[in-house]
Amino acid sequence: MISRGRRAPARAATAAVVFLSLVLGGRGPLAHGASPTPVRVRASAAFAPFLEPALAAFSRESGIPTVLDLNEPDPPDGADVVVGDDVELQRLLEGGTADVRSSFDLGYIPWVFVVPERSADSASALASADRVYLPTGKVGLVGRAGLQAVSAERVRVSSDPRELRQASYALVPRSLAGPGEHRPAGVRSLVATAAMITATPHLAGARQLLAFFRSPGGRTLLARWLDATEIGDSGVGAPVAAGAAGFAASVVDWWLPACSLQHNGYNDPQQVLGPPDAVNLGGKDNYQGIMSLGQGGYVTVDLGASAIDGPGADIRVFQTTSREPVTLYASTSSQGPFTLIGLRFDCGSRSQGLLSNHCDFDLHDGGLAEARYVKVEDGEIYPCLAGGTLTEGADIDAVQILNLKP
Amino acid sequence: MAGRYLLEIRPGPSCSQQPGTTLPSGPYSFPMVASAGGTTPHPGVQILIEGVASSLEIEFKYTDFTLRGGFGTTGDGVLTNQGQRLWIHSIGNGPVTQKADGIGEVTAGTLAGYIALGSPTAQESEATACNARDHTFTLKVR
Repeated sequence: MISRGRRAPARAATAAVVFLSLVLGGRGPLAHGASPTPVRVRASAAFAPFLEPALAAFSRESGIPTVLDLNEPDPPDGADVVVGDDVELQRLLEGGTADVRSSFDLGYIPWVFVVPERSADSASALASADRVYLPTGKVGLVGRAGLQAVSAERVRVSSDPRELRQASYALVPRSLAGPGEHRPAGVRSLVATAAMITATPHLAGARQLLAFFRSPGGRTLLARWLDATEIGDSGVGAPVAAGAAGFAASVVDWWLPACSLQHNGYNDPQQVLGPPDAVNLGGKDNYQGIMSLGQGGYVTVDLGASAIDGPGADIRVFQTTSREPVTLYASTSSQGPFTLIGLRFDCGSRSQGLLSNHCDFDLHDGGLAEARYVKVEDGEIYPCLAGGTLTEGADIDAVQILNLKP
Repeated sequence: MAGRYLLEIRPGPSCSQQPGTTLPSGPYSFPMVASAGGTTPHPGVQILIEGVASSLEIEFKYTDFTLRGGFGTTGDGVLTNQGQRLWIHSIGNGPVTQKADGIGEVTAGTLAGYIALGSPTAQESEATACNARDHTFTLKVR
């Protein structure tokens, strides 16, 4: 399918975005209003096109001035509110620098290939390009997965939104796409999540801004720029009934490196049993109901019944905060052998009504007809000694059978 | 497993099956130091790069003469002995063999996961990356 451009915003909003990009270029803030204590919002350039008009509308409506600081949100560097994708906010939310309880998703921005009008198919067009532009930073790392067929020598990363918009060939979030044909990129959409910095000195203003984003007026404004669902996502997942059958019933084995045992705060494997029940209790690193897997740790559970290879996914893992990857192995015996089902799956699909996100696994991918025992392994594999939180590694809340053996 | 080791990592053959994903076959090596890493709930071995230890950290479970665990770098990656910058988030698995002096080595380890390689000044989004199950590694005494 070929798309010739995103939904058209009003001309004034487009002009404001361009002005914002040209003036800031990641170097400084733009103020709406003249108060000495504005609410400061920090976000990458990909989020500017909707934040600029939204903040202007908020300031007009509330009388509270705002400042948009166009830089990666981590570190927040004086911001009161951060907006960013999971990969940008993960460590802020996990470590409590940003308040998990205040966070919510504004919407999604799909990635697009930008190629000249009437180009051949995307693969051929990109193969013929001398340079393919990609945003810099963590956002760019999300997109890089879509340029596997383009050699590193031909990938040009840029922090300049103007340069990205002028590129003849680019892989960019739709918000940074310039002229040319915009084609589906097959890369997971960026999710725009807003969260308040826990220690903000402008608590009231920050809360008011987040309330504006949640309001019908704010939602309507944001919907001009953001999609309601992630491309390729099967949905937010059905609500999970407390006490429902088919959840992990007992722990068979587990292991965390000694380093992770020493530094993490959530090492109890029993926390992965039963339905998802993770909660954030407020403050820094204050959770209940999760097991953090540290660097490459794992927990093996007995599901209490067998999952079968049925329609769609067969096993769901609930993982708290962001989309830390998870690897899953499965077996019909507690002693194995365990077969790899999914390697380092992003575990960030949203779960309706739950703190935890989730990721789904299909036994078919491992060639298994059924399994009762699953080994859930950390897929983030971040150096333990470099971690700064009590929740390093994937944070497992629950494991659920989706296709239960009759 | 204790003392000074040379870690060699080789991207898997499957990484060269698509244009653009080709990672030079390596090997890419690093000077490492191994030490005991706890006993509960299973014995472990921690293996760190010399210098900034957290820039390349391996945390292994060590049971049945087999090492299994995570190879991790931070967002900055780590310089190889050969001068490239490498990022890795992979699970390694390998049998430990004993040299004549009793020191353990891994001469045929497998790695599953993510490896990216770039120039010394590259950021990760500029690197060539490959997710595969057929990477390999060795850990030999130096």
